[in-house]
Amino acid sequence: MTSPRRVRVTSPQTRIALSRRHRPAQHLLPPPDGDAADRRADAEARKVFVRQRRLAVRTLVLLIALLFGLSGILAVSPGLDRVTLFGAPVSWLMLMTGSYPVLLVIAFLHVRAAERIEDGSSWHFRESGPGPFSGGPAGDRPAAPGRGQRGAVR
Amino acid sequence: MTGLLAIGLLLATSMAIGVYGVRAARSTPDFLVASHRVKPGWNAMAIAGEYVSAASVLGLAGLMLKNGVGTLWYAVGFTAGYVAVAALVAGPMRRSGAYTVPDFADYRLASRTIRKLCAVIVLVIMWLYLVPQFKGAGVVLHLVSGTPYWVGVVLAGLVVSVSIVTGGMRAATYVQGFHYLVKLLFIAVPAIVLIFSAGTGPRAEALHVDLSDWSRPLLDVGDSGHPLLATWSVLLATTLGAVGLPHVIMRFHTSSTARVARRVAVGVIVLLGVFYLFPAVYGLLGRVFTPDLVETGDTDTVTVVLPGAIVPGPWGTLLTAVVAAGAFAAFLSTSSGLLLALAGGLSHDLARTGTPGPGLRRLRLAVAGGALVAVLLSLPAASVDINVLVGWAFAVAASTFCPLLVLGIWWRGLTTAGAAAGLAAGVLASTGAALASVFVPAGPGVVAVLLAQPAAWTVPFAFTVMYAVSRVSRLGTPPPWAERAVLRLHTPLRTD
Repeated sequence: MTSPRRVRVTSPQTRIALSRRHRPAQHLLPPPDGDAADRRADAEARKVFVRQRRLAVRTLVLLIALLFGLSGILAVSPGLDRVTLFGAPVSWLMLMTGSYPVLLVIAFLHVRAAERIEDGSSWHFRESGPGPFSGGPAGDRPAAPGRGQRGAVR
Repeated sequence: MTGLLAIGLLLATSMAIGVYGVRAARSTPDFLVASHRVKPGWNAMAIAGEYVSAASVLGLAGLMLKNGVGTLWYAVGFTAGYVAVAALVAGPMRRSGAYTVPDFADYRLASRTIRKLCAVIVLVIMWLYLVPQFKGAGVVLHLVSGTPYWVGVVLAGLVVSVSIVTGGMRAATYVQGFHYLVKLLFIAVPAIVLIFSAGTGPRAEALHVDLSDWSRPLLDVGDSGHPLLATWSVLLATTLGAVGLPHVIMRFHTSSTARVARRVAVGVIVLLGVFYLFPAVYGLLGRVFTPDLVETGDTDTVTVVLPGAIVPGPWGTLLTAVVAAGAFAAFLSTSSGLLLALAGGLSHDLARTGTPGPGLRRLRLAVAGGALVAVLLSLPAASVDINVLVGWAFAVAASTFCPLLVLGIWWRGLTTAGAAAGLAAGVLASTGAALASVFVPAGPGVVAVLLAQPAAWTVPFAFTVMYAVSRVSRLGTPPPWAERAVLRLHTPLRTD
């Protein structure tokens, strides 16, 4: 039994959008007649971005502190090789098992904080228009917000 | 014979699961990223399944037997990479809508030159990563059936390309999820059996700390005398390399939203942390039972050889077969992900002429071509340590795509000239250093470390070049829509 081959149906707009895939991303420019709501949306998006960046820096600092700190401790205290716990050297146990739970905690805290920042933001890009995710053919352009397609959700 | 049977069974099951996914793989998005329809749990398992490669199953224990306990820092770095991925790229990359790193460069800078440059770097990283996988296949098949090394390599290339050509990413996702379970069970269960059957004496001997450098929990390059520098360099390469690995980036599009993509990355950390508890067992026991492997140079085989050396008779044969099947799963799923990313680079970014063509057919041709080159490169690589090559692939990714993605996502000031200069500097410095460490005997000292483990300087170097050149306004300014392009990556969609 052979199933019929699926045929893709696209709207004229989709075809137009896909045909200019290598043009610069004009769609990302703010509309020339941007009104107050547009400017407010941009300001809100900037605030979210700055908060997320601060959070990412914090997480990276924690990650570097853990990795370089743990290896640094093992480097400066060779005595840990001779202390044993359950028959295994403590330094080996720290290397083999110590970092994984901490890595998980750092990642978990980051994701929770990042989601809170997103929840606190009241402005959203609307996912709409032609794009690879709305059923268009093998598109490689991002699903782009059109002009004036953003607005308050809450 | 039992080993061949186990590998045959694994291949048959993988094919069956692959066929299940074939029906849906009809378009390029299906083929490349499974059209975002994969459940988070499967997705995390598939990512872990693809990520845990021959480097983790064979190479980690092998390099540990050869160089010492400190090798396990590779495993820590491989896992820590997903913290960086969750924090820096997972969400924004999903929102960018870019399937591949070259796509992202196009989104952010709209420059075809950068796109091509990225595609070339994708090829470098993917081939560096594929060769050790195929080497692993050749070595394992040789061990369990006595066939010459090249037979395993060629067979591996065939199996992987055929399964991708027919199924694409959607098929690969389920197969890779299944392979994670196979790898975990087929490494963990024999490891526990081996611990118990080794006996009290050898167990104590395996945990005994002697005065040699082997027992020091730090990595060193030869006897350079700078173990902390080498350790930090490897940690930088593996952690930041994960951020820039093309096949890892591609994976986040199998998540439905940016939020899910981030959570999936956290799930991967759990799965990797569990897996990486076990390779150490093989390295430690291998030092007691199979020390002769160090003399013959076949340390990468310790995982497969060890069960037979500890458990005699048919049970030993069975355990060997189980471990061999696990190792085969490792290289199968990793190399299918790598080949897909490679084929994406070849057909999607390098070969595109602007004319719409039979995209899927070209992708499939690219898979076959990419596999062929990887097989040819693997044939003379029988004696190269798996983990050394994989470490270089990570170092190149950390010195090229990591700066591009991190600056592209978090800094609106990135310019085309800056990106091009940084990418070129990163790829030349990291591959140059790795090549120099092979051909130039550097002797002990800092230089040996900085050549063999270049990430310590090539990553900051690439970041600095990319930033500094972007700041020189004579060489170009950021596009007018740069700020919008950056903000969009961090603004939740309604569907999030």
